[in-house]
Amino acid sequence: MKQLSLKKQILWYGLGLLFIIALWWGISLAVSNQVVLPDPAAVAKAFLRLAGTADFYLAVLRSMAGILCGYLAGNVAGLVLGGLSGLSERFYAFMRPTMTLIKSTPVASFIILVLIWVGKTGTPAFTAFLIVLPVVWQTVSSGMRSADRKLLEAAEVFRLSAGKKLKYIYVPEAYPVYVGASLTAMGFAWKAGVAAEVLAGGMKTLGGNIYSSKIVLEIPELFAWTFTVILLSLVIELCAGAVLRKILKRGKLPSGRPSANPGEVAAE
Amino acid sequence: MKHGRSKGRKRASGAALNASGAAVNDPAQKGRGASSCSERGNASGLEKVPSTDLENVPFASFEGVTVRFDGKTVIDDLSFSLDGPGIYLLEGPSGSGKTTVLRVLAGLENAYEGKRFVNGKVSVIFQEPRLFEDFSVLENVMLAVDPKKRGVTRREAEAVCAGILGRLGLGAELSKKAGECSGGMKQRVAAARALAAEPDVLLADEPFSALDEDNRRTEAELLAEISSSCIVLIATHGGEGLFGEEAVKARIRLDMPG
Repeated sequence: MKQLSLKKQILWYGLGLLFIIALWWGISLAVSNQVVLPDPAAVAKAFLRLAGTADFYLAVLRSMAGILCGYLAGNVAGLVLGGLSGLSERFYAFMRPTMTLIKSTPVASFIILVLIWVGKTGTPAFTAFLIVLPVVWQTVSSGMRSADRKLLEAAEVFRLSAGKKLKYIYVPEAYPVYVGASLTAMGFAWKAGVAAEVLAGGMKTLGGNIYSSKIVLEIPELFAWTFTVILLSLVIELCAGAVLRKILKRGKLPSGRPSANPGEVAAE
Repeated sequence: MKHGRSKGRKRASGAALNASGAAVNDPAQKGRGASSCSERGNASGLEKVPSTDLENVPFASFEGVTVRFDGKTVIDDLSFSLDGPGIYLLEGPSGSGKTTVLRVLAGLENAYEGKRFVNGKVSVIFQEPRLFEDFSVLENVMLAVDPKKRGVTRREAEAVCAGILGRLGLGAELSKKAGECSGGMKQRVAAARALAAEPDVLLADEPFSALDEDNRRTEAELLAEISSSCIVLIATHGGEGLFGEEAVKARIRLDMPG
């Protein structure tokens, strides 16, 4: 397929965006019921009104802080457990059922369970934690498990310390996959965290506001809060992507990728 | 001279010895080998108690070692002993288990029957170089050296490593990344790393395979040099002819299993 120029890409992207708005507007005109489907103008008005209040920014901050805490905790736990699983086959096998369980439970089910266990306040963070943990665990452990056996043997023979083995052999293998997966998981954690806020209800967070707007049938506001979540989701993913590219470009760790077999006599 | 418990089952002919006759399982012989070594290492050390010396003599042996992979016998009831410093050749066609013998000696293969004994620090020249590709040539060699343990500064240790690399014709490539080296260069870096580790037992798996004639000779010289204080066991297809018959202390021949 022919690569479009940047200008044309922007043009067609804009046309696609316009198409959604036009479709939305058209349907809302046809439905002609602001409670079922408010038109874009009403939503924009609601959004601008909300964006002018301090509560709006506090809600954004509360949501981000809570979900970020869970995200970071999930990373720390995933790195530690994944690291141990990468070093020990036994521990890997031991951890697998737990991780499979967490990963396969529907998000909505464990949000409700977490609500019962830890109460409203901690639920979004805990949900983000549970989303991120298995992803990080999986990539870190499998990244480490794919570390080069031959190089590890050489490290064994030359008595490299455990720290050096980790730094020169395991980390370079696991690091790029970990960073990629962890940044992708940030988007998931955000969406699941907001979902947890909605189900928890009654909090001054983004999800909490979505819930209250629904209760009082403030549908344009509900759309406006949802739009905020989408906007922040895009911002998070853009930032994560930029960070990822930067890290992968600059931070190529010294790795012990094995030498290829020397093969024939080298011409020197 | 043959040794081992059950000649009938053995496929390896044990160590075919040269005149010095040191590679034997007989404890008495072992003692003699050791004392001759101590004289060499310590010219005026006549008063030395033999037992303390024995502990410092490099020694490696197999007693009826058998290795099976997935039910297939790779090494069958092999016995030999490498008694004291010198060059030993491990010969046999490919597939006869040379690499496996070295791996068991190096402690990299734990699923074997029989007894393996190694006295001294082991170092290996692997068949594939196994270098850290993103590290420089010198850094790769330095990985085998722990300056703290040797009581030298890092700079001093680097000078030693650079010296070994220089001998192998890599003096101008110290800061080149290993990943950018040719196959022959990599193999010489791997050899330099193994030598820099200051081993008592050096296991070399086809160390000359990727080298041209000149580099083969240089590396053989270095191995011969270190063999005055170190067991150098070289796995080879045989007939490399780099070491004179008198320089080879013993040969171990492996035949195809079955």
